[in-house]
Parts: sequence; structure tokens; C-alpha cells
Amino acid sequence: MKRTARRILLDLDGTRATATLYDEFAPKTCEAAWDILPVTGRAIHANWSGREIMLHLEGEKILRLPQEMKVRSNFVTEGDITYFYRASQMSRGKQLAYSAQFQRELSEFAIFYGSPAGEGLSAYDPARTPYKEGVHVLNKFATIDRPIPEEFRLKCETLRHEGLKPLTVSRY
Amino acid sequence: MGRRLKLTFVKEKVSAFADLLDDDARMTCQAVWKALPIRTKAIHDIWSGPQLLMHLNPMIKLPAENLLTYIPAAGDIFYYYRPRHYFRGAPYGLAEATEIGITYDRDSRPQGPRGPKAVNLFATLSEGKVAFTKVCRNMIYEGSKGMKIERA
Repeated sequence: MKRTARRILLDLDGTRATATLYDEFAPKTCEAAWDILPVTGRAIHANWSGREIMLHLEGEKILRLPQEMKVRSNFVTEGDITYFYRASQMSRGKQLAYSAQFQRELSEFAIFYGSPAGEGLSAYDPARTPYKEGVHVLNKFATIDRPIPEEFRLKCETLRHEGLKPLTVSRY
Repeated sequence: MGRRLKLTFVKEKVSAFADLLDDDARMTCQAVWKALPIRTKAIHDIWSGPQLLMHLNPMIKLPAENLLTYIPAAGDIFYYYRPRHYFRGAPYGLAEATEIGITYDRDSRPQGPRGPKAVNLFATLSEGKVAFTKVCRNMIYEGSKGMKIERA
């Protein structure tokens, strides 16, 4: 896959990593993500997907994008950054386990700093496969430049022990 | 009344009680009971949804008993042992591990980096669940917490 030179900077509580956009693979998502940068929020660690942290997009930064690619087995691998959207009606009940911010429309960047659950197989879960445009969307749009800084990995890991951390995603 | 555990988030001073499932998991219950009291760190799971885990002394190695693989109920407490290299190729699954896990809400599934895992179901929360669950849920935002498990 040919990559363009557009890159983004991930600053997690002072620890940095850069990533390259998949402009050719996901042009709409890359463009939309680029347009809203910089985005600042508090990163939260995933509870289903393994070594992943998430940045919820809020207010004017919320993106509602179409599915841009076919999701398949091993779709997500270490270092990938995805855009994820889930309409509020996708969540059964109150989803109490995930507090208020998961009970509404969810638009986020997901950063896989290590192995995703089931080697990325969970992204292929038929029950979660996007089946209706605009209800559930998963687009891979960037990957962290190699080697992934060990300091950045460890900082992501600390969210499990220390809770939320400030994260800024900006143009680089 | 059968044997019970008291589980306490130390800093938060929030406790819940659990009934041991002695009839179904006699060996696991006895081994855990013998190891009490346990002071450890509870950390939120990252593969299984609404679930906590606590690492134990790896000397407590138990075989499978009263196995649970899918659809635990909120309040289920289980033991899990993983020998070295249990998970194929997973950098996180190379080390030996012994854990106690607590499911605190629906939609959990005991899972590791390579997929579902079988665990020994040996207790279930029976008292104090509401406040205890709230602390569990807050760990997503606040991080790990000190935990004490003792005989009730």
C-alpha cells in the first residue's frame, strides 16, 4: 500500500508517537480526521479489544462517516489506528458497565498499541460487522510509525493502573 | 449458611460478600480458602468486558473444575491458571499466571489475548453488590485498586 506523507502526532500525557495516514486506503476518513485536528481529550483503555486506547470525539469534533472498507479477519493489527462509530441504538439497555459516555452515540479514534483481541478477529465478529450504513462503522485510517516507541506503549499500559490520561492528536 | 468471602476495596472501604460454591467446586474453594487473607491489586480486564482480575501467587496451581467459558452472571467469581506459553505466540501469554476474576455486569466473557478461556467458577457475590459494582465500574476511569479478600 502506497502511503502519502501526511502524518499525525499522538501525545499521550507527554509521551509521543507519530503515525502515517492511509490516505490511499481510506481517503474520506483520513480527510475528515485531518480536518478536525488537533483533537484533545482523555484517553480511556479498552476493556474488550486488548491493547487499545480510545479517544472519544465530542461536540463539534464528532465524525459521522460512512463505512469505507470491508472489515475482515485480522483487519486490525498492532499499531493500527481506526475510526469507530456506533449509533446510540446499537447499545442494548443502559450499558452501565461503560458509564454515561457509552450510552450515547459513540465516535472515536482507537489506537492499538499492542495486539488486539483475538489477533484482530473480534473486528470480524459477524454480530459487530457493519450491516447498515451509519449505524456501526469501522475504518482503519492510520498506523503508528515503526518502531512503536516503547515509552509510548508503556504509557498506554499505565492507563490500566492510573486511569484516564490526556491525549492530543494533531497534524505532524 | 456456607462459607463466605469478604472482598474489600481497601482505599474505598467498600466491601461485598460472596458465597463459596463448595458443592460444585470443592477443590478450588478449599485452595482459595486456605490462601486467605489475600491482599492484592485488582485491575480491570482488557479482553473480557466488565470484569476484574487479581493476580495470585503462581504456586496455587489447580486443575479444571466447575468450568465456565461463556456467559458468566454478574457477581461470578472464578479462578484461572495459565501455564507458560499457554497462548500461541501471544507476547502477553508467555508467562505463567494465576488469577481470580470477578464479573460485575452482563456481557462479559472470560477471554485472553487469543480468545475465550475456561475458568473455575467457585463463588458468587451475594451481598453488597451495588456499591461494589460501582467501584468496579469506576476502575475503567480511575485505574487499578487495592483489594483484600478474607474469610467472612
